[in-house]
Amino acid sequence: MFYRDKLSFEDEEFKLKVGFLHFSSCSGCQVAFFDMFEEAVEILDTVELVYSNMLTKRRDLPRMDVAFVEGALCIEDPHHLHLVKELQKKAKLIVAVGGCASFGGVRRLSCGNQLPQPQHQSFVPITEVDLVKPKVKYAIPGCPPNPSLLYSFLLALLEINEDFLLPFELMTFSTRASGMDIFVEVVNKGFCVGCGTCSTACPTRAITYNYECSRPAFNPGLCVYCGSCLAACPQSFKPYPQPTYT
Amino acid sequence: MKKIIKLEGIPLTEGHSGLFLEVEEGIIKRGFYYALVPVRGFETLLLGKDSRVAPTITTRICGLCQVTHAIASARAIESAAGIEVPPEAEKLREVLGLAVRIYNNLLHQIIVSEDLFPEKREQLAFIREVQGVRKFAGTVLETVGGEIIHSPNVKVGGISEPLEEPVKEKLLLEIDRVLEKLKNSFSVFRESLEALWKREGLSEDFGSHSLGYFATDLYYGKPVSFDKFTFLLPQELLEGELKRRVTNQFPLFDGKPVETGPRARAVLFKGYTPRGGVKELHLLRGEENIEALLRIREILENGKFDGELWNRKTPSSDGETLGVGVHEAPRGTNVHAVKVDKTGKIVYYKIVVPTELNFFAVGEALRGISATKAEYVVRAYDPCIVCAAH
Repeated sequence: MFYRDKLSFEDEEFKLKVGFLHFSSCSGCQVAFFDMFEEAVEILDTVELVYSNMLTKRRDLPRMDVAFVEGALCIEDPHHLHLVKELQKKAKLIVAVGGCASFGGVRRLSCGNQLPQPQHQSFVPITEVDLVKPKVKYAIPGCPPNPSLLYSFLLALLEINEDFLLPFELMTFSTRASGMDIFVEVVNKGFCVGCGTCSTACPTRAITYNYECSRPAFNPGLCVYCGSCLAACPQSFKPYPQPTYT
Repeated sequence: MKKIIKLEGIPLTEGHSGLFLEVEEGIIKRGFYYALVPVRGFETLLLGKDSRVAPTITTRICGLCQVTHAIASARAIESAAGIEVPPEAEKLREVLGLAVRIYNNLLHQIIVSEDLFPEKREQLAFIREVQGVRKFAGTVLETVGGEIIHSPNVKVGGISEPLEEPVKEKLLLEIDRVLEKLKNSFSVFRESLEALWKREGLSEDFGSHSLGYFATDLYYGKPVSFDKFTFLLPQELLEGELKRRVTNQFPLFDGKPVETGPRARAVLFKGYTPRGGVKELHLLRGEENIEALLRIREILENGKFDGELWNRKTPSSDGETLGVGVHEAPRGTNVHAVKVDKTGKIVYYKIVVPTELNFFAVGEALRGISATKAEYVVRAYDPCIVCAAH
C-alpha cells in the first residue's frame, strides 16, 4: 500500500494526509473539488487537508501522502522550480489533476512575450517533469475534471479500488490529449462505433456529432488539449488488457 | 526603527502573491501587493487566432469567475465587428454573470471561514450551508452556460443554446428555498465576522483608504473608454529584486489608482456612503449575493429564452477599430479590448482584470495598520492572482 506500511486499519484513528498544489493554472480544478458541494464537506471531514493555499494557513509544504497537483510547470519561474523540488521530497504520491497538469491543456497554446514577464513561455505538464515523474501515479483529464468523477476517484483512492484507478494510471503515460487523437487512435484505426461519447465529454464543444456519417466532427480551433474525449471514449483503452467475463 | 518585510505566499487567498511592507514601530508606513505566478500570455496567444474561439480560450484565464472573461471577450469582439446581439441573449448572459457572482462570493466565504470559525465543527457546518446555495448557482451556470466551470455556451453573437421553458420554471421554483438559505448563511457569516473583529481587536475603520471608486454598472456592465487606462510596470513602481520578479501590471484609471468591486458598485450606483475599512467589503459582498439572486429571479420571470439567441454572423472588422467588452465580475469591473481584422483574426488583445486594479487599493489600505494584521486586509479584497497575471 502506498501510504502506510501496516495493513490493518482498525487499531488507530487514521487520516490520509492530502495536499493541493497549484502550478501555472486557473485554480479551476481546485474549485471543481468544491463543486462536489455537500460531498466536499464529507471529504474534508474524512481526510486531513494539510496544504492548500486556499484552505490552510500553512506557508511551507508539509509531508503528505497524496499531493493533488494542478497546472503546468513554468521553467522560467524560480518559485516553480523550488516548489517542484519540495514536492519531490515531501509527497509520497502525486495525482495530476486536470488538462494542464496531465497533458498541457490550454498552456500548450502559450507562446510568451507578454509584459511584464516576456520570458515566461515554457509550460511543461507535471507528467513530463523527470524529477517527479516516478511519483506521478495518476492523471485525471478534463478542463476542469467533472466533480463527480473527482468524487469517485477520491473514493476509489481511499478504498484502493484498482480496477477503477487503472485508466487514470495509464493516462500518465499518455501524451494524447486533443480531439485529433480521437481520429488518429480511434476513428482512423477502425475502432469508432459512433456512440458520440467524445462529443458529450468535450468541455469546449470542439467535438460535435456528425449525423450524416455517425462519427465525431472535430473543430481544432476550439480544442484546449484537456484529454477528456480520449479518456471518455469507450474504445480508446482497447489495446490495453481488458477484463474478461465468463 | 525602520524595517522592510517581504512576505511571499498569502494563505487563504487564491494563487501565489506577495507583500512588500515598510514598517516603523510595528506600523506599516508603505505597502505594496503584487502577483508572483507566471504570466501565461493570454494576450499574446490569442493573436492570429479566429476571434470566434476567444471566449472559449479567455474563460480559462480564471477558474473562480470563469464566465465573466467569456462574456467580456465576446462583448469586445461584438463591439469591434459591429455584431448585433439578441436582447434575450444579453439577459441570459447577465444571469450567468450574477450566478457566478454568488458562486464566487460564497467560495470566498468558504475560504475565509478558516479565519472566522475557531471551532472546526462550526466551520464545517457553515461550509455545508453555503455549499447548498453554491449548488443552485452551479445549476444555473450548468443549465444556461453548459458547464459549471468554463461555460462553452457563451459565443460571439449570443448564447448557443436556448433555455427551455420547463427548465426555467424548475430553476424559478428553487429560488425561494435558496434565498432563505442564503439569508441564513449570511447572518451566520455576519455574526462570526463581528466575532473575528472583536477577537483580533480590529477597529471599524481597519484598512481604510482615500482612493476613488470605479464601476460601470450594478449588475451587467456598460462600455468605458479604453484610452482612460494606463499601465505601470513593476519596474516603474517597485524596488530591488521585485522589479524582475513581479508578474502583474498596475493599471491606473484616468491616471489615478482606483478601487473596484462591491463597494465601488454600491457607492456609485446605490448611493451608499462608505464607512471605510475592509469589514464592509465582506458585508457588501454578502448583500450583493442576495440582490443578485433577486435579480436572477426578476430576469427569468419576465423573459422568454426558448428562441434563437445566437447571431451567427462571422466577425470581421478593419483591424483598427478597438472593441471594448465590459463585465461586472464578482471582484469588480473586467475589461477586454480587442482589434479584429478583415478575415476575423485577432490582431490586438488587452485585458484589465479587477484584481489588477485593486492592487493599489490593497497597498493603500495597508497604510497605518499593524504589520501582523496585514493579511486580513488582503483577504478582504478577495484577490484572484491568476487573473491578475493572465
